[in-house]
Amino acid sequence: MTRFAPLLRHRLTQTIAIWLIAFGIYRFAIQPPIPSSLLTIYLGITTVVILLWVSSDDRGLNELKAPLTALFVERENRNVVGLRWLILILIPAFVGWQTYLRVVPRVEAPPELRSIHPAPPTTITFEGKTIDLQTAKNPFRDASGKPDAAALAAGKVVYGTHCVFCHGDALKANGIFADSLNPRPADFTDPGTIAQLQEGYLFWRIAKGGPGLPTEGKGWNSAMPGWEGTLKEEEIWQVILYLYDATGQHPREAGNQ
Amino acid sequence: MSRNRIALALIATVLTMVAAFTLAGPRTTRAAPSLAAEGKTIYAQRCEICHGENGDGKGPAAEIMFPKPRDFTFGEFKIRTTSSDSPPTDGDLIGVIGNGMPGSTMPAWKNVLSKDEIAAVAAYVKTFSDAFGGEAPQPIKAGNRVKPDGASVARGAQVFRDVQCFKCHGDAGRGDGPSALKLKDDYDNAIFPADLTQAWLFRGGGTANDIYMRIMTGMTGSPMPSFADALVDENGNPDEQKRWDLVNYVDSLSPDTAPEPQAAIILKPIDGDIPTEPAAVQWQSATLYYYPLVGEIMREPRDYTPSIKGVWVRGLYNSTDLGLLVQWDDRQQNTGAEGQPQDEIDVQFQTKVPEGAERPYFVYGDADHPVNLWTWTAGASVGVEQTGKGSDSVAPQAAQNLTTKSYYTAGRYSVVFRRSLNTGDAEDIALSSGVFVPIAFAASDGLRGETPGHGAISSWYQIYLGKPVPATNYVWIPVAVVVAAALEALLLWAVRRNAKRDA
Repeated sequence: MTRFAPLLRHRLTQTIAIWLIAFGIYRFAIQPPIPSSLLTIYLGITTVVILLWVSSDDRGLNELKAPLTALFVERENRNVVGLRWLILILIPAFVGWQTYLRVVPRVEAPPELRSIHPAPPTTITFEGKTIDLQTAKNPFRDASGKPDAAALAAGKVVYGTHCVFCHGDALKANGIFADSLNPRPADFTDPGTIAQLQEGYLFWRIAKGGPGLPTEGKGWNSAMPGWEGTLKEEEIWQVILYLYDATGQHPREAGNQ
Repeated sequence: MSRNRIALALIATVLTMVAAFTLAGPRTTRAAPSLAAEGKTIYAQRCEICHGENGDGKGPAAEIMFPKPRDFTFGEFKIRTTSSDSPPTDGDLIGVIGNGMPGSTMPAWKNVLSKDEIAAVAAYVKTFSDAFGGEAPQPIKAGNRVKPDGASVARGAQVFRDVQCFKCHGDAGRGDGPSALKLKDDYDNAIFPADLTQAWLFRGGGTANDIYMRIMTGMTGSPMPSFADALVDENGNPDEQKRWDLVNYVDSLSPDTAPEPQAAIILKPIDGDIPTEPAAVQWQSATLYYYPLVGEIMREPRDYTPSIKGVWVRGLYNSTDLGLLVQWDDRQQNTGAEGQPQDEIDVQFQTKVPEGAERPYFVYGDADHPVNLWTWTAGASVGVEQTGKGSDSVAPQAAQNLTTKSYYTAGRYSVVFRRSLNTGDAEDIALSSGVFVPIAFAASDGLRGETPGHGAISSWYQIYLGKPVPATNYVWIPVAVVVAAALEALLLWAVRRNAKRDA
């Protein structure tokens, strides 16, 4: 320990150590991580303060200067001379590399901004019948909201024969087509999807699909097919029952904002 | 009680427990009734919809699937590490349930079920057949893998010819061999040999060890036999080098994982002409992009299991033209003879560069948002520009501006599309550098009766013609380096002068 004591008391060691600790705190200890621009500002201020502190007395200034001066003027020790050349070459190389990154722009695809749950229309026309989405109730639930067992079983079959290729057996958006779609299909086990919605909303999305989205939702670029014409009204309500039952989610009640 | 005594008591307890577990020995492979009973509940909830209540593979969802869900009552399983007359080990069943069967609708249940639950389902699956009644099946022993170097791969290629793998899997391994199209499995369902260049779709996994097991044990119920008897030396003894050489060759044909589809195809301008020959050397300098395709499931007859799984795309452009080399694997060239559907590929653009995020419907556009299609069909073997306003209203344009050239070899189509960046035709997408343009792909395979609108399709991605970087930009790099070096020299000089003065 005594061997290292002089080294620990040395101002250059202390300066580097304090700077590294400060960097460690800013970079890893602060959660959530701060943006890199803010990190640069914090580190800049820290560096100035450390330099002010270390140069506030002659001893500190000399201890800081001596090794750096030695690095620049040493002629005998080949290791130090080698280190000097290494530093002298690396700094312009780094500057050149940073300049290259700035003058040759990298291209990235623009993010696809989309509204996740666009506002539904108040009513839709399904097979010629007008359905009010605000008040629509699932006909296969009793007054307490309990699903009808036969309808639930039928809903599972509807799911398996129509939805499973994209939304997956586990309803986690892990069907065999899911990786090939952009955006991915909805993950029904995610609390941010069906748990936030009324059953009428689901009816609309299933019946009308991506093509039925309002203009502000089209950024969705959804591959969801409109199932009107393929599924009957009861089948859509049945599969909705299954979606909630299989994931353990509950629909948001009408009027409960 | 002293502290020592407590410690002693704890150690004694732990040792007793370790001894108890060790002496109890490994779990027996015969399905314990309680485990199977637990598996039955999970089976009813998760598996029945495809594999059926009675394990006969006739669940309500089975109809739309290809390959079909397994019928467990036969006791035949494709993915085994046991010899071809043996049922699979528990580990084999657990592996298939856990990892799923890539390229089929069997998902990886390890993402949903716990290890114990999977073991319970495996135990229940065994109750459907008498095949598991006997002794616990033992896995075959694989010799040490031969180093997969060039020499081994080259020897493996010879073995591939010697034992006639190409008859089904094709000369380049794309599943297009002369026998490939007439195969049926034991249940009389059509079945196609694996495309060995797409190992991420191998049902039993794409690692070298997986490939070894499939070749050596065969895939029972399918036309893939065990090659254990063919891969032997002159004296009829197992030839592990020959076996691993073949494995190394097959393994060399494909990466293990699917290429990641990139959000945008980003092209750099070139100086020379855009080649029209698919084999032209310039294409090799262009970045390769892969886009997976899905089935067009909305129009009857709905195609849940399209034949073409993905397209590979390369692009080149210069000041006047854009060229796209599109390649895809297809087991047979179908030119539309005798009224059969023909093979087709479409590159989709939106007719106008969109201003917002709004896109046309990805299946051939819609009435409000027409798409500009670059269509190539195998029959005419020429490219046609079409306008799509939905699946049912796709029509050739009056003015044609495309140049195409194509060839088909060893199970793969290669088609080059070349067009002027700006044709002046209002129905055509006008391309310019520095703009992201939505692009999508569709392919149909005549062999499986697919037609445009009843085939494989991708969702929207983007293509970007990169702006050339002005030469003057590069000047700043040496300037920055010289300035940095000059500042260093100045610092060095100043420090040394001060040091000399101090001394």
